Amino acid sequence: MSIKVHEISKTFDKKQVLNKITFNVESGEIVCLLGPSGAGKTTLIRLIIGAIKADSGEITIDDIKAPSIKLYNKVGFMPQNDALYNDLTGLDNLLFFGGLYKIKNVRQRAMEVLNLLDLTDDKDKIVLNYSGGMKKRLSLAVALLHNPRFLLLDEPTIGIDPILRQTIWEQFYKLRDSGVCIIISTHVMDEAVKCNRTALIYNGSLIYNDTTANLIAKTKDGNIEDLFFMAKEEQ
Amino acid sequence: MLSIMIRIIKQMFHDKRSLTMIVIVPVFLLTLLYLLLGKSSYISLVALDNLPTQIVSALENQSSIDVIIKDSDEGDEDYIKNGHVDAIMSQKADGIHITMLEPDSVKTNAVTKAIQAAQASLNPQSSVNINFIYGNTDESTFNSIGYLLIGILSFFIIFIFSGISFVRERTLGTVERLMLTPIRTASVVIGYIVGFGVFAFIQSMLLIIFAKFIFKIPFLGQWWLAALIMLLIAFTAVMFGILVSAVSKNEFQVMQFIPIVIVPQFFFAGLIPVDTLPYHLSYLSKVMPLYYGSMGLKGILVYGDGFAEASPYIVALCVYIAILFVANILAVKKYRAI
Repeated sequence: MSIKVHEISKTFDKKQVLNKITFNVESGEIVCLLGPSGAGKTTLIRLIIGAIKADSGEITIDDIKAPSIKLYNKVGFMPQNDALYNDLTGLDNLLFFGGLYKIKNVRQRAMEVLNLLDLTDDKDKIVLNYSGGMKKRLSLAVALLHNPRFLLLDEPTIGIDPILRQTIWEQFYKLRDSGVCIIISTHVMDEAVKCNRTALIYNGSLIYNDTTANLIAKTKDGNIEDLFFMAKEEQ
Repeated sequence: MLSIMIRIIKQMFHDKRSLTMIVIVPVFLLTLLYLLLGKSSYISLVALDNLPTQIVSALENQSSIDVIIKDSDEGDEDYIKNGHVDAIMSQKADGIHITMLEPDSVKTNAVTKAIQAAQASLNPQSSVNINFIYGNTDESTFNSIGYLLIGILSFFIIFIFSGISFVRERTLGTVERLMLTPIRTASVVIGYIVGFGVFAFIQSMLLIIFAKFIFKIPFLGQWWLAALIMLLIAFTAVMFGILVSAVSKNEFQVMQFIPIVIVPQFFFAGLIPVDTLPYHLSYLSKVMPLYYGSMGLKGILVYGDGFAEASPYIVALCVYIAILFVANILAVKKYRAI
């Protein structure tokens, strides 16, 4: 069970956004897509989920060529913007998306993910009245709803306070240990430290792809932020 | 499909103002138009100048005008401009002259009707009788275009609703998110049509009930046929909305489509008789769904058409719906790369 990205390139308006990106994510692994904003992280995630088409290259998930409608039952996606219905309650949002996945006992499953993300007390509030962090958590709840084996999370913990972030990461570890493949994009270095591997993207190219420990060893004084400067020099 | 429908209904109930807008406002507008365009009981005041006495007495007997004898030396124009009367009728060498301030259908009708009737009473053989197979000249403007108004109001409001809601889903990214689930594209489009269709149906039924029982516009045909046409009009409106929002970046851009997509349809829906238009402009009406909707409604309400007579309009609307459906699927498909 793995996600294989092979020589993926993408151009927008004649500007090369991604240039021959190749990397794999194995089952039970959290891979961090690290890079400054505008590096192409979101584009890469949108290519893997199939929101946009690649110009060249191939992506396979679980040995099925992506994009394919068959894959959507196995892949959970959390977009960068929350993409929630502001005029519905949190629970109704989950029931709606659950209906699209044709989940059995959808209400019970919705309550499970709400509980997981500490939203049970706010389930009947209209999303418009949610705080930024609550919206992020609800959006994550939608991505987890159908028990996906692959998770694509675009900056999932932005705007979430440190304590809650800790509990969300514990959920990620639990999912990973149950065999879920997770890709998380971030531009925050201390998130990368929590991942098994880091793929550093700079100006649309994959500069490093190694275990996070190895990458830290490459830097002079163990400061992971040096990676950004090293990436800049390598270009 | 069912999830989308249920979601739209839930959203609508959370948004009381929209619910009011879609259900109450059309009825309110129809009522307003009924009062504005309703039958006028206006009686024109006509000054008579230098007319033979038998004509004067014949005119005095007419109920649609009040007559006075012009008693001032003012010129005809000044006399009317000063607001003394609506019309002046005077005997000149070349016949009777009538002067009025401006063309005004209510006042003109009252005066010409009185003259025709007076003439007929003086000389019964010169009496002219115009017969209409459907309707009559005494009908108010509201009655003669009422069938149009219910179609137009429904189309306009449903279009705005579906257009704005769909563009909002685009900007929030929820369309993309729902398209990245295992749902089929056709189910998405049908879900939207049926979801909005529920409210469109309630709205149509209210409009028909008001038109038939409260305003008593001519209603010869079957109510369910009229409801069917109204529902088909609403479906086209939903799909026009989705199509327009697919090429709009925000709510404002949806609004910009109103003068292009909606207003011409109003013109060709029968507000202006299309069969007498110059430059073959009447062909344009054939590409506008609201034309078929309005003509179908007119047939059912005014001519008492049954299913057989109304079927060409129903078929035309269905063809339109099929074309829009394909266009909608193409528009929604672009949210995933499959």
